Amino acid sequence: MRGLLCLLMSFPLLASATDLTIAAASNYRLLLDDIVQRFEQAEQVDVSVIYGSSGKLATQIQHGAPYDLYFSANSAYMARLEQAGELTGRVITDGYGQLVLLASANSQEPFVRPLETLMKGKVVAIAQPKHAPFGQAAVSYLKSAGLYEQVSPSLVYAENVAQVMHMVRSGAADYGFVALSLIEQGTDAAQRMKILPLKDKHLLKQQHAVIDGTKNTKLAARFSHFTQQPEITQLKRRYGIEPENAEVKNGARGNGRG
Amino acid sequence: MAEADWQAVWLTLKLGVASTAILLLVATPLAWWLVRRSGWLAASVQAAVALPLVLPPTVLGFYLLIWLGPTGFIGETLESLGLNHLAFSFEGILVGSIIYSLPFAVQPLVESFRRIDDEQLQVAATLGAGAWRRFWTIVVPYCRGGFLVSATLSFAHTLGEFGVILMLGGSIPGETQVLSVLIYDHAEAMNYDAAHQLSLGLLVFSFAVLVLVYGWQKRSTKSETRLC
Repeated sequence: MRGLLCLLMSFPLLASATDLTIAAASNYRLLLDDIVQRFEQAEQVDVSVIYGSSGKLATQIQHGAPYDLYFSANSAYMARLEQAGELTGRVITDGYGQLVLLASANSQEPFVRPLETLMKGKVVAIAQPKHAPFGQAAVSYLKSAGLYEQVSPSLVYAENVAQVMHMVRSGAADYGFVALSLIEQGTDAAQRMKILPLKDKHLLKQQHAVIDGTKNTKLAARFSHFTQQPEITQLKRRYGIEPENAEVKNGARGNGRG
Repeated sequence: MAEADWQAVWLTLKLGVASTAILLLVATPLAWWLVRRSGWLAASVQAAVALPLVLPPTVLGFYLLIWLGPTGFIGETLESLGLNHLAFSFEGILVGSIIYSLPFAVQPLVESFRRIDDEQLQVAATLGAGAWRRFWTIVVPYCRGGFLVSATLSFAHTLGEFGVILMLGGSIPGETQVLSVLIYDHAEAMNYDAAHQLSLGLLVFSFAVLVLVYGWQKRSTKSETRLC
């Protein structure tokens, strides 16, 4: 018994301490993992990232979650935190996310037919619009395309955009509205997607800010600065996040991704 | 309460009642078999039945989504028979609930069946009572406490199910959006009033159900089945 107690007491000493904790919208995963790796090498620090839907993470921050930085997939949640006095320093705009319709591997249909015909009687997954920006963007797209009434009966709702990817990958959903930034180059998923032009691209304004009251303000500010380097801007483009003032071209993205 | 909230209440009750009914049908022969068998096979079956107690519900949800979907071995088989696959459907979360609550249905029955006097069954058999008759006239009355606890726990446990349904259901109003998932959605969207209302209702209801069962147990002289 005493041995067990000693073991439990020493556990915190064994656990590696994280220097910086980031809360980020799920669609940031590939980009941030890459940035974090570069930052850790440059600064010799340990950074951990918690991914979820923007709304969920914003709620957690308002309830005192111990995050140092917050990356959101739309500006509404950032504005809410700013008004609540949860942020310190400037809100940085990383660019604009792009909405993509991804087909599962077992749906043989190429995107040559109109979406209306494609989605008929199919299971279509979207992130929960109540708290996930890519879900809100998907609903907005469907409404502007006049498809919402027809598609809404066959919609299934995921916790966040990463879970939509899982639903489509597992074949449980035929189609899913996901983020371009979650589709890796050279994978077969990249061959089964269609970038959808949004009427209001501000729905997916990707922003980040440092959380007020963090003990790691300096390191958090350095990370924020690091994400604004020219090389990282190129990286964002490669991961499907369009920098500000860039023309979003349907069906193509920087560095030859398609 | 909004219409969607009432819809979730009815759907949750429907899921609870349906899974409890099916669980009783499945758990009764299974518990009977477990009580009368020993050896590695029985131990393996008992372990399989108890797995949902130790596995995170997300593990169940993860596998069930793959197996019940159109490319999984169950979903694909159903599709080849001209039926629909089970992901994102009421039938799918029903399968999930049955697996998730199976140990809660089986365990009280096992405890109850263990206490049956075999001599009584043998006497009834020599008097010419068939298996069905012995079951209905001896086992059911003698083990009604076990059946009640099994049914109540299955029902209450299904009400509280979350992780499996979150991964397998797709939060479809009227189809798979049960109370636990709707409360989660409300909380994430900061609709705290609605989340409070539903949570409090579920808390009071679950407590009342358990009080009834414990109260019945305390008063019952025939059955000494305990919940834990």
